[in-house]
Amino acid sequence: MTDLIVKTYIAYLPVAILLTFVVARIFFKNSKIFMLDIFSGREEIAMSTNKLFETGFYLLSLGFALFRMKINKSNFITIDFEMVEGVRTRIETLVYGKQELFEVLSSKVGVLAVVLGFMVFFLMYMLFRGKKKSAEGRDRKEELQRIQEI
Amino acid sequence: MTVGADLYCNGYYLILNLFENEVVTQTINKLLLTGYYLLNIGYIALTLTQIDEVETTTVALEQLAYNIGRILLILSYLHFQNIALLAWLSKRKHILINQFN
Repeated sequence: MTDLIVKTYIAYLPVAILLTFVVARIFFKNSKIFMLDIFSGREEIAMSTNKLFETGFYLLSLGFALFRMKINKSNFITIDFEMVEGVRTRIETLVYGKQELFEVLSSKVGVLAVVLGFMVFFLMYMLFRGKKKSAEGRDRKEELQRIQEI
Repeated sequence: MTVGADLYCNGYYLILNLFENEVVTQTINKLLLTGYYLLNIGYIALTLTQIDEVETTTVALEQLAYNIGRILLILSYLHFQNIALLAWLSKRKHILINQFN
């Protein structure tokens, strides 16, 4: 019985890690261009910021995936009442098969995927905001220069 | 089962190497790194006392994943805080330079 739970964990870990790595690689490969635009072509700072965010992303998502790995066994408890020596006693047994564990596994992977999606969209929002802000800053600088020239 | 305890220690030192900073000064970087090490060692010391009975593989895996996940979350929080601080500082620097020139 416990063997099945261990098997579920062993199935969950590679899926979670692979999901994180794939998402992070796709996102941070494409965010380099945005970073270059935000930092107006200063390549060093853009790359290092990208790297910092990548590290943070890995830490956050892997941490979340591992933090949520434990399967709550109270869902599998079935309660029976039996007569033991004339006294009605409550007996709790753990009952679970492949189906239950597969459901739990899929729900865990699903929640992880949804959280990763939210994170990616939040980071995209941040990128777009940064782009807008840096463009505004550039405009203001040009305006200031024009005023000084006059 | 002391294998779990050993596994922790190995897991944590890998995380430490990832830390890099765009701050030009080396000293600040070094200080941050030291803080990182201290945090991790303290966390290991705290968690090692918590685990007392690891009977089966299931419990071992659960404990390991839970504790590593928790330290990763803490580190990610600190990491993003650090990035925010750096961004704020660089903005400040810009304003200061503009004022003094």
